[in-house]
Amino acid sequence: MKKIAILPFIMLLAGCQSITVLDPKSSTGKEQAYLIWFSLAIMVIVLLVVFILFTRFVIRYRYTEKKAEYIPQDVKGNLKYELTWTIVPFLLLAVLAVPTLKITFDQSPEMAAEANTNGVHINVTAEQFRWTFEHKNSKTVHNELIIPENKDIVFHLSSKDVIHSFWIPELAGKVDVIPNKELIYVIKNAEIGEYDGKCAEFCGIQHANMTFDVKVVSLDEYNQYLKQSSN
Amino acid sequence: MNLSIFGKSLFIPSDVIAAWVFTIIMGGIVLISIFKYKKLPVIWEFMRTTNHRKIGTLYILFGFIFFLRAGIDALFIRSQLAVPNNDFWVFQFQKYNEVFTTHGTMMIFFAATPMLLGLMNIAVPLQIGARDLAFPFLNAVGFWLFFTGGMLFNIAFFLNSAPAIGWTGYAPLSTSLFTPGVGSDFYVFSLQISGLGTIFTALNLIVTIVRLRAPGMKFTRMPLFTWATLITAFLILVAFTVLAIGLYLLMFDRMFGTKFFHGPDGDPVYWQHLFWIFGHPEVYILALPAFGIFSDIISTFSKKRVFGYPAMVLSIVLIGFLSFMVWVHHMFTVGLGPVTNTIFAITTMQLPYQLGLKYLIGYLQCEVV
Ligand SMILES: [Cu+2]
Ligand SMILES: [Cu+2]
Repeated sequence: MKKIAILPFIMLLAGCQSITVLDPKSSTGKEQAYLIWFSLAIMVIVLLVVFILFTRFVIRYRYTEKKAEYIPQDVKGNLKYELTWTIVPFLLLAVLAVPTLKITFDQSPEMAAEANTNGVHINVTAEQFRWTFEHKNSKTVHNELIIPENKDIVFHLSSKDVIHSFWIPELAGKVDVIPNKELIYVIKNAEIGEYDGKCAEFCGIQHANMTFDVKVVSLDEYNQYLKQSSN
Repeated sequence: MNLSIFGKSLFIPSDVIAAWVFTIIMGGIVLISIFKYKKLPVIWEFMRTTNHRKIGTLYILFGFIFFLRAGIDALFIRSQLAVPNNDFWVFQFQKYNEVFTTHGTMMIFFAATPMLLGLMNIAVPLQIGARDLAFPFLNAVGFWLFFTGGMLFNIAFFLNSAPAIGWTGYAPLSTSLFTPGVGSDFYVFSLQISGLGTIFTALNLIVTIVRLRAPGMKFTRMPLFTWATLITAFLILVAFTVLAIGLYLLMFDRMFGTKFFHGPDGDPVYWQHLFWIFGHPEVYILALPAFGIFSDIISTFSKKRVFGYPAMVLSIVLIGFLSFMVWVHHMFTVGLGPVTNTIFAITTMQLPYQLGLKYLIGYLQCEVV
């Protein structure tokens, strides 16, 4: 009973109140989060089966004085069991595979030459230790990204020096920003709000401070914003 | 901390000074107790030994010492991260980057790998009834190369030039363009040296298991730990060779002005391919022997033969094989294209399937005693 008193303290270990990645604010991010939840559900099924069997085996078949002289029967195999544990995981994997493959295929970042996408194009340039965003009328801003809601935002990512990684956890997964190679990444239907963006590939001494602010605004406001001269 | 020596002022971080002081005091204590208890002959014996059990012991001993160092690094990392905007001791900026680099590198290359190699050294000849490994001297060379690499890597810290490029050493950050200091060279050379030792030991284990089994110890009767060791040794042979190639190219980039991993003709993604073709199998280099240990311990204590022995062996072989086909899952964000990513998503999903099968078979074994 005493041990149960420890339980609340163990709960304290769960320090994260909100995992933003699991509650994304764009349809791209929602698809990704769906994959995480879906695979988690399947894994929990497997985990429960394994843990229940494990506990049962450990308790039921543990060594006791009574069994000291006991020599178990020699078992060669059991076709029924073996087929079960071969086929069931295969089915689980097949179920998991369909959405995973579909979303992977849709969302993977592409080389610039292969992509043809309509939407709001923004050039993203990363360098040690700063982000530069260039909008379509060549308005250029550092470390602040303003995008319109409910649009396909097409990011053209390139780096001036080492590898960085473009990540807005509340909107979608990360994509590397690589020197001498332009990558295209599309984030669809962002919701209005203010988010944090950061570099997600260790890139040198100030890596931790290589962050930027993201603001998703209405289309009108975005057009207004473009007209203002960059400062 | 600023020291002035011969009129020159020299900046040395206080953690390096603390490490020197600690090492000198501990070294003195160890030295005194060696003489007091007359242990010098024992050390001399271990230094010249080619006996597989003694070398195995050395592997585990130094693996554990390096594990402690890497563990202390982990504590520094966690202390610095304990609260937002923390200023713990000196572990901010470059120091923090150094500490997570050494932590990762030491844990993988100088703690986990050698401890398992040590166990293989000790247990495999005993399990197959061999007197020693096939090439005892080569075995000693392998250990001392590992030891040299590990020491070199640690010395970097004492000279205040620990690498700060992450344990994966991603180019172009690890090229001389962005990290011109000697820190990254310490990374390259210590991994190269200890990796060579690991390759020697893997060759040795393969020859031992193939050639030196006692009469009657057929492949089909071998304990699963020995099977796991055999497959692991093949993985090491391929994976560490690829790593060695990557490190060579990086060394040329750093010292001789080549441009494999940067510039308009080079590509930093080449480094990632080479690194992860090593890096993913490394996971199984660490995991397979552990599976072998589970199997042998469970079957021994449940007084039963291994359930589905042929299936177990087959799945070890398959896991070893598949582990070479999934490395791109570490590079999904690199932009290799939807087709590549999808293919590697499939191969990657395949792998735990094999693993799961192996595990479930293992579980059914408990059904006894
Ligand atoms: Cu960066
Ligand atoms: Cu992997």
